[in-house]
Amino acid sequence: MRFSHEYRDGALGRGLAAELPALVAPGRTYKLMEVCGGHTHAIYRYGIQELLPDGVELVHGPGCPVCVLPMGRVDDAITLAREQDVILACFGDMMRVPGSLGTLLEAKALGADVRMVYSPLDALRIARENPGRQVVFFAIGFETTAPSTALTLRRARDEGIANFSCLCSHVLIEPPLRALLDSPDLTLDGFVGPGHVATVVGAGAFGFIPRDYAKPVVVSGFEPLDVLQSIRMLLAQLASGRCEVEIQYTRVVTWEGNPRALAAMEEVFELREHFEWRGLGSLPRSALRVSEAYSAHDAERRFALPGVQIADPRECQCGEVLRGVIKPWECRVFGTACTPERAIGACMVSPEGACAAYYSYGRHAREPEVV
Amino acid sequence: MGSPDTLSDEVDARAGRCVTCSDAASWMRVVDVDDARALARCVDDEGRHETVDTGVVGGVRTGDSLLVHAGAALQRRTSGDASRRTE
Repeated sequence: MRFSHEYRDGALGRGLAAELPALVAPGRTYKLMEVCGGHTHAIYRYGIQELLPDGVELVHGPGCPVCVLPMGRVDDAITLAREQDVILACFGDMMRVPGSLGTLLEAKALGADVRMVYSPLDALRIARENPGRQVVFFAIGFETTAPSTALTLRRARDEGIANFSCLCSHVLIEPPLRALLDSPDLTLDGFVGPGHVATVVGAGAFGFIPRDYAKPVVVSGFEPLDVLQSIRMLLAQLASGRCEVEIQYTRVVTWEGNPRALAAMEEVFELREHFEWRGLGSLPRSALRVSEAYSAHDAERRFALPGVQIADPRECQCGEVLRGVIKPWECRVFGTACTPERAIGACMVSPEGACAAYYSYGRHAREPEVV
Repeated sequence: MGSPDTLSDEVDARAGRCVTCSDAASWMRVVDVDDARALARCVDDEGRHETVDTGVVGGVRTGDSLLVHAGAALQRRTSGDASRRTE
C-alpha cells in the first residue's frame, strides 16, 4: 500500500495535460517554480515538461537541503570527523558533497570514522553501541526532517545517552522563498509547494506568498499526476485572477500541519540569527540550532569547530541554478567538468539536485518516461 | 516487540536513495508497536523493515500505515482509512 501507483496512470495524465492549453493565454509566458528536488525528479522522470503547453516553464527551486548547505558547514563536519576522533553519522546524501577540505567520503577513506545512516535513530543506536566514543549526527534537512532529529535528541536525553550529540544544520523553507521573491532578477508566476514540508508546517504556512507577494501556491504531492494536477490548479488560479494557497496533496497535507511535530521542534531547537545558504548568502532566522535545554547534545557547544565561511568554486554556478536564474545546462561546467561522478557543485552531487536531475533524465541519459 | 534497534540493518539495500533532499517520504505498514518507547516496526512494499519513531503521530496500531521520513512517522492512516479508500 504505497498510495502512489494510482497516481502514475498514463491515460489520466494525458487527460490532465489536454486540459492545460485552455488555461493558457496566447502569447503569455508562465514561470512556475517547483520548490522541491523531488518534484524536479518527477518532472524529468515522467516527462511532465514535455506535456506542458508552449509558454509554461518550470523553474527549479532551492528545496534541496544538501544543495543549499555551504562548503564551510561541510568542512565543520569533516574537521569533527578527522580531528576530534568522533564517529560522525550522516545521511548518504552528504557523503559526496564537496567542502574545501574534500568530502566526508574522502575523509572516511583517509581513516575518519564516518558512517552513513538512514535516520537519526540509527545514529543513536551507534552511540548506544559505542559508549566509549563520541557520536555526532550531522543533521540536515527542512522542516520535514527536523522532527526526526528533535525526537531523537529528546530520546537521547531521556535515556541518558551522554555520548550522542548533533551538528544541527536544519533549515527553514520560508526564508529562502522570501529571498527568491525579493530577488530582482527572478520573476515567477506561482509555486508548486513542498508537500511533505507542509505535512509538518501545514499549508497555511505558505499564506505569506499570496498575501505578501501576490503569487499563488499549490501544495503538491510527488507522483506525476500530483505534479500535473498542481500545475493545472496553478494555471486555473492565474486564468481566473485568483491568488491563494491550495492543497493538491489532500491525502497527506492539512492546513494546520502536525502540531506534535512542531511542538517537538519548538522544544529542542531555537532559531539562529543568521545562516549561510549556498547561492543565497546569509539569511536571517533561516535555520535552527540546538536549544539551551538540550545543550548537552549540541556538537557546536561540545567541540571546537572552524565555522569558517568558504566561497563556492568560481566556476560553479549552483547559486544561479538554485535561484532559478539559469537552467542547469546553462552552467559553464555542467556535464563537462561537473558530473555526478566528479561533482564540483552540490546541485550535481545530490541525487535530487536540479543539475543531477537534468544530467540523469535530460541531456545525458535515457528518454524520459512519459506518463 | 523484538529488538527495535536492530531493525535498520537493511539500510545498505537502499544505498543511493536520498533521504532528505527530495522532501521524500514513504508509506510503511506497522507490523509491531512498542508504545512505551514510541517506536513501531514497519515494513514497506518491498519488504524492507525499519524502526520508526512514532512520537509525533500517536495512537499507532498494528496494520496502520505511517508516512515515514528519516525514521520518523509524520502522519498515520488507520487500516480503516485504507479500506475506505479502496471501496
